[in-house]
Amino acid sequence: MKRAYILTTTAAAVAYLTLLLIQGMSEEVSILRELAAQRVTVTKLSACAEAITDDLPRYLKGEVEREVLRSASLGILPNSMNVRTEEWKTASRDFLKAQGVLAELNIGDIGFGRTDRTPEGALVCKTSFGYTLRDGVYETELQDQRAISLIVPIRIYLMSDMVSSFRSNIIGKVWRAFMGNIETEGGIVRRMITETIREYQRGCSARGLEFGTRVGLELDRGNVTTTVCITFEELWVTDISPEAVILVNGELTRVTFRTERSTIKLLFRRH
Amino acid sequence: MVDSIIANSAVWILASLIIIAPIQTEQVSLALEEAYNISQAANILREAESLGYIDELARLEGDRAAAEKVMSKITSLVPPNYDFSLSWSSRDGSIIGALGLGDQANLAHVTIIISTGTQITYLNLGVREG
Repeated sequence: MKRAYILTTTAAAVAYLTLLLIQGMSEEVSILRELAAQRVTVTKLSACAEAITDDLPRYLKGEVEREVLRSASLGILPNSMNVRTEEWKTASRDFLKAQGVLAELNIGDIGFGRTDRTPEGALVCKTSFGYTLRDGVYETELQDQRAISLIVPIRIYLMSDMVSSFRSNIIGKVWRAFMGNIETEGGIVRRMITETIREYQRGCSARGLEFGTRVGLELDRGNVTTTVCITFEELWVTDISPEAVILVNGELTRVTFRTERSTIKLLFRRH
Repeated sequence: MVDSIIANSAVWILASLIIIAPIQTEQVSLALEEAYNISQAANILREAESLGYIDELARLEGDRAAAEKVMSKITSLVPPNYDFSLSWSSRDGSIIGALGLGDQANLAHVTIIISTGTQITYLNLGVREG
């Protein structure tokens, strides 16, 4: 009887000890597995954060290039209000959701400016990007806020300057010529215009731009007044520097700043 | 008799631990391996981004042959003793390009988003130690 009691008690104690040991081991193993799973979560969260932070400038660059191309074809400067980011936000949220990450993405107002260094007269796009990424299982959270600044190396501001400067230069020269002498001959004025066009073509070529124009001149001489009509039939500047190409539907395209036909009428009166 | 009971008990406990320990250890090592492989995949994609391969790939969406060359450059960053699978797909799930293993089992995957000129795409890299 005593022997049986000792054996039973010992067996129970051994079973209990074994159970405790296994349970302890299992707990430690669970902790280790949990730590490994949390490490996976943190790695995934940071990979997701890097992916969206790296991709937003890439997306914005494409959108800004499109806006530069559109505005240049109309002969106006690009407008940052035309850059949309909703599609990227939706795609990014879908991408994050597919990986079990909940996201709050916030893209600040987009601003355009002129580069203060090379490439001279190119466009700089600035915005801010903030995100909060949360893992759906462990509630691990990752957040950051950063400034984004990217340069689109198409010298849209310089091209616009060239066009405006050429137009005002021609108008100024014609104005001065007729103010000095209302009888100035048309041939002289036309030669002056041709010379100015050549000057601009040389100047632009030296800066990696291609300049083209067609200017018409009409004189209407009356007894008291002389009317001069200057028509800028065509006026365009293309950035031909190696980096100023953009991809449009898989094809490399150069941006041409092209203004619409415009006519300036100057009226001179004999004194 | 007491000695025999102690010896038997010790053998029983040791036997239980010997049977259970490898199972538990295996589970932990699998979880740690997955974590390590995911960090490897994330590092490879980070390096590809810093080397400009991702920007290059984004520009070559319409040119499959050239895109595959860039994808090969990305997979060249995978350590030699690793198996891998790299797939580039559009948002609707259609595959633009794929390289590596068809068998995706036990691969640790990391996906990044790539905006090309025309659409938003996803690049998925799966790796495992071979």
